[in-house]
Amino acid sequence: MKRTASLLSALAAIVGLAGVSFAQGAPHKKTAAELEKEKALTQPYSNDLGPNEYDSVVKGYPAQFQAGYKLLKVRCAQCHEPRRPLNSRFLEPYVGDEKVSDAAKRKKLKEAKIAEWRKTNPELFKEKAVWQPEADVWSRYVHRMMNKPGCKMTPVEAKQIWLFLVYDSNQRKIGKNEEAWRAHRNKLVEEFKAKYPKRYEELAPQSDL
Amino acid sequence: MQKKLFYLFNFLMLAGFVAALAVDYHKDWRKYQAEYYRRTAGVLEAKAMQSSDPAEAAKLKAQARKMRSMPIQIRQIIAKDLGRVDRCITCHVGMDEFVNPTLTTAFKDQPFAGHPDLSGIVKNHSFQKFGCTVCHAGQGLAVSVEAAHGKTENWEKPLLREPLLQASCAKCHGNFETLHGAEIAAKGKHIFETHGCLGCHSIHGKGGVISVDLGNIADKPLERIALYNLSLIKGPDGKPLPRRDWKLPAWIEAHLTNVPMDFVPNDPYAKYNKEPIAPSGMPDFTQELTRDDADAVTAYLLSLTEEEQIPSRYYVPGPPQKEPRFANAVEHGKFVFNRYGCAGCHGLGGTKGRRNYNALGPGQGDMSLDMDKGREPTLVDTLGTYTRDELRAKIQNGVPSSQIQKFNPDGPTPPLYMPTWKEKIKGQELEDLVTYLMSIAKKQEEF
Repeated sequence: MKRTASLLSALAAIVGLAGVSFAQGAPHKKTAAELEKEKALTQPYSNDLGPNEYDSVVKGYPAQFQAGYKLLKVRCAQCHEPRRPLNSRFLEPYVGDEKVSDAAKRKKLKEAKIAEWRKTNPELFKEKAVWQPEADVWSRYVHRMMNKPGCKMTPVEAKQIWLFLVYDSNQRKIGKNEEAWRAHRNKLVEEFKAKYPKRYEELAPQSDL
Repeated sequence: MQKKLFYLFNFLMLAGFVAALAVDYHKDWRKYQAEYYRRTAGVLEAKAMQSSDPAEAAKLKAQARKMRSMPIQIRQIIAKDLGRVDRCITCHVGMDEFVNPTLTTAFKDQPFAGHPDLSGIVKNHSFQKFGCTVCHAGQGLAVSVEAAHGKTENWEKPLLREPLLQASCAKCHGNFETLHGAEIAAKGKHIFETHGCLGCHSIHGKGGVISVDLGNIADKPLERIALYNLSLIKGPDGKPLPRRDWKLPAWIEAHLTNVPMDFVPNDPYAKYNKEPIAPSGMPDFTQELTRDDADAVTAYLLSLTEEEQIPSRYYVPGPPQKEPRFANAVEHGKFVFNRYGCAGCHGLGGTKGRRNYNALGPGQGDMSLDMDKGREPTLVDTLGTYTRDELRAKIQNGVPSSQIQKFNPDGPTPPLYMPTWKEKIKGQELEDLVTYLMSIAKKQEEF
């Protein structure tokens, strides 16, 4: 009886071990988002050398933007690191977006703001590796990301993320933080040039660093 | 013993000669020729009987007698300028100007009927000068139906019938689009130019670089097409093509009437090669083109030859086409979109990205089964997220193969990519193309 029991347990152990090794040997099925992330890693930008989170800064933002930030760290991170949008040169004017529900009106306000920046702060338009001010740049990019295979972002989530990106850009990239941002971006571009010289040569002519 | 063997072999040789003569005597062409003379004599005799003029009746009877005594022999046209000897008139005797100077016959059935277009094509292409096969293809020297019509295994240029016959008009006549009688080939060229074929294929260097130049596709030797691929082609009845139809016209047409990856499956799982090879990157046109459309494109492509030894004085162009005029930048941009074959990857009007095997695409799940769900971008969905500058840069720089994400990392490299267009699309063409693209973009859902 004892002998049968030990034989059975040995058999169970063998079957168990075989199961474990089979499970380990089975190929991991990558999701579309994981594949997009692989692609993002093979095609780096200077943004990808910056910090991956700005928790200490964002905690001072109004709650709704903090919510967008949290979503960004989950949703955007499916296909690329959060550092890619967080260190981006994109700058879309913040006109109290969450309060202006009429998109056409909002666009006009933003275009007016861009025109104002052109007059009051032309530097923003000259240093293309530091800033890319446009009336709807974040809106366009969030929409573009929504079209990527495997993107699970709902329109509501996308809007929250967009709100955060617009607000955050206006906080960290201009005004009192303008100089710090310029230094940050220039440092990233320098590091990028040193680390990925071929990719730098590819992107620099298109001002897409 | 040796003497006996000598006699035996002599006898066998003689029997062989007699058998060869007997077989030759019973060839179909003899029957057709005799039948033609018999029928024609009958018609002449009937006319003589009906004639009220005795002189006329006597003349007709003499013609009938002559017809009945015509020798049965191989008849041929030697088209010296074209280097052709065509024996088609051995069976189609009614088209021999020496037997039948009017070239008209009272018969509707082949091979006794006359040429259907005496007042048009024949008037301008005399049989004695042009022969038959320069237009109709087939095997001019052969005198059996199967061989002459090129239905034998190793004859590469089968008889061309309507609508493919118009390939022969287009191969010699420049501006054939404006010629009466070449409408099908002209339609084929139009389809070729508007459905994006030029995005991947070029013709004499004009067009895309993703796939082969089709400038001499009509000269493609069958030895460059694997019989295995030909065996996978389905005919109009859905059944595999019979062996005798495994020819270039069927091969070209199959690319439009079959799903190309079905008959050019290649080796996507690397079963036979070290590296996986994607199936044909040619899009599936079965839902986009009718059989008539496919015929028209095939007729046009069969006109693209460099092999024909036709003297330059035979190349008579039609009247030039009118220069296209455009009411605005969007219309011109649309013309540019078609001209450079953008629809080849992005679908007509950019409305549906075409298959790009093993590229990352929507709705993919199973690694091994869903590689064929890879898609090129559907432009109308994505264009709204681009600025003019970004679009301009995208068109000029393209998207190299290395930047197209594979769905299955172990699968083949996706066959399609966006070539750089900076050398081809520039200036006003580029600006108007961008304007057109912006005009077809779906409005983004507003935040």
